Amino acid sequence: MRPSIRIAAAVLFISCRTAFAADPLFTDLGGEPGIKRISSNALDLYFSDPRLAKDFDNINRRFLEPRFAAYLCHIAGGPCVYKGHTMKQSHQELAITETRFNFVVEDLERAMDRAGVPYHVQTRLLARLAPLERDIVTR
Amino acid sequence: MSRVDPAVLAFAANARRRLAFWPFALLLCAAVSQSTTIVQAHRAFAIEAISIARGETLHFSNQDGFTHEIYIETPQFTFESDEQEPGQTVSVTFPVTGHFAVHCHIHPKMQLDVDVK
Amino acid sequence: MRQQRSHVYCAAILVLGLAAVSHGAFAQDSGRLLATAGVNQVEGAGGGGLTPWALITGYGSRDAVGGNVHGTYVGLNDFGLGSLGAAAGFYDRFELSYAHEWFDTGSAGGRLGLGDGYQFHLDVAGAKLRLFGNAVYDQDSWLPQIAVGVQAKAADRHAVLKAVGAASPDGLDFYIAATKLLLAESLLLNATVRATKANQFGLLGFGGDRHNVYSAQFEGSAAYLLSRRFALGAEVRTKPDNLGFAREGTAYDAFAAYFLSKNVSATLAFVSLGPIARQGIQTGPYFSLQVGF
Repeated sequence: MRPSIRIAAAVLFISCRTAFAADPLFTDLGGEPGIKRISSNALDLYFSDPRLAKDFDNINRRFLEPRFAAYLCHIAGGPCVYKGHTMKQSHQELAITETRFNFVVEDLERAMDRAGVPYHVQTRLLARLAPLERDIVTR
Repeated sequence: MSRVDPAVLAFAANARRRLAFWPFALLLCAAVSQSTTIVQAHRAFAIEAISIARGETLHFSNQDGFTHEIYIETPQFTFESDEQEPGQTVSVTFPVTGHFAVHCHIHPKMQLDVDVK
Repeated sequence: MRQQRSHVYCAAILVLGLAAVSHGAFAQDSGRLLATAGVNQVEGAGGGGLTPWALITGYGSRDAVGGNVHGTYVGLNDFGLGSLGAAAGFYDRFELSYAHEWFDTGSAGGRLGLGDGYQFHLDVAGAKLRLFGNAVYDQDSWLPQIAVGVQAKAADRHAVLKAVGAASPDGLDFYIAATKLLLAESLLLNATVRATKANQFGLLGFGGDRHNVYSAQFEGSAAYLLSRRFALGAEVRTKPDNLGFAREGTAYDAFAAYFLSKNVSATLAFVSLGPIARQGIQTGPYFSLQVGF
């Protein structure tokens, strides 16, 4: 191969690697299997938490779970594409209070505990999710 | 024929047209009333139950903020819609008599009881 | 006597208020996340151990009220300092607090000509208003949570205070606090600026023969969350030096706060309160317990 082509190939290879390098948070959460485990644990808690009974009594878990996992993956910087509604659209009619938002956060923390996610990795994910309060809490 | 006022003749001709209009209008009404719109809002159907005739169509109008996906699953009649975004309408024609419950795959509490006569 | 009665009334009002709240007169939901209300500082306000923060005390969300009672004891080389108080937070917007402090001179009392075990007392009634910002949710902005507050203080032993040069036994402190929680770094930072004339937090009155004007004092805190329940931190609090009879200096502490639940937290610290009443720099352990909802 001509030297210029070899150089071009090397540059392309390196830039591709950089472009697709995973966000450290996504890796630290356990990648796709980690996110799946966290989502499954979280939904187990949401659907059984008596404080959240009225929030999860009219949503099919089979519909919610893949979207929840895709959103978490996307916000953690993973290679997932989230094609669902925005957080604002999907929550605006649900009259969610600050308290119930926080109960969901607490259950997510427990879900991450059960999945073995270290505390200082959890806080990095929570830091990205916290600003959603503005879109999700409407009451 | 005795001489008739042209205005009266004109009225008579129009009256015939008007008389002819009514059966046509009634047919039109009948055709329109063979389909009804059911609104989806607040993750529920706007009504709980409806009675319709065989062959009638129900138009489900998603005026909700959420996506829906309605279905009917009975031995006599099944129906599956694709994901129905806010603003979209899904039409279901009921070809057989019986009792059918319309549900949503996404929102399990949504139910409309359709009684087809 | 009048002053002791007024502080009893204050205490009674707050306790009754907390009782009413806890019996459902106002909404109570413990809806805030653990540790996001801080603890109580020596003067009773929500914050760290020494300084008030912009956080509103209690675990009530913006739709509810929360409150707590606290007890603090600081064992110093020559003195003992204690504080008992109650605080209530309303709708994550407004805070009321009350603390009664006592300062035991121990054997230094004898050396100072007051008699061994001579005690000074200070009542502090506080109010705080969150102006804007939310330390927990504003993770995507540099904006801190900002609150302003006032602490109305009344000391006893008027004759002794006059003798050491204090201009008044009563005073008002005003402060503005900015609190920022950097969740991704598990770090909480606070900066407070206080306008005050207080001598030794107010225990030795307000204003003095050296200075009798308001001065701006700086208070800073930094805390690192090791886990959801456990924080390590340090604070600094500068103080005026108004009295000719004895120098006064900056207070520091290094603390460990443990949040057992939304109902109970405990803080252990090592403090240095600077020189007090000519007895040298006073250091020692600090222990505080907070019970609330």
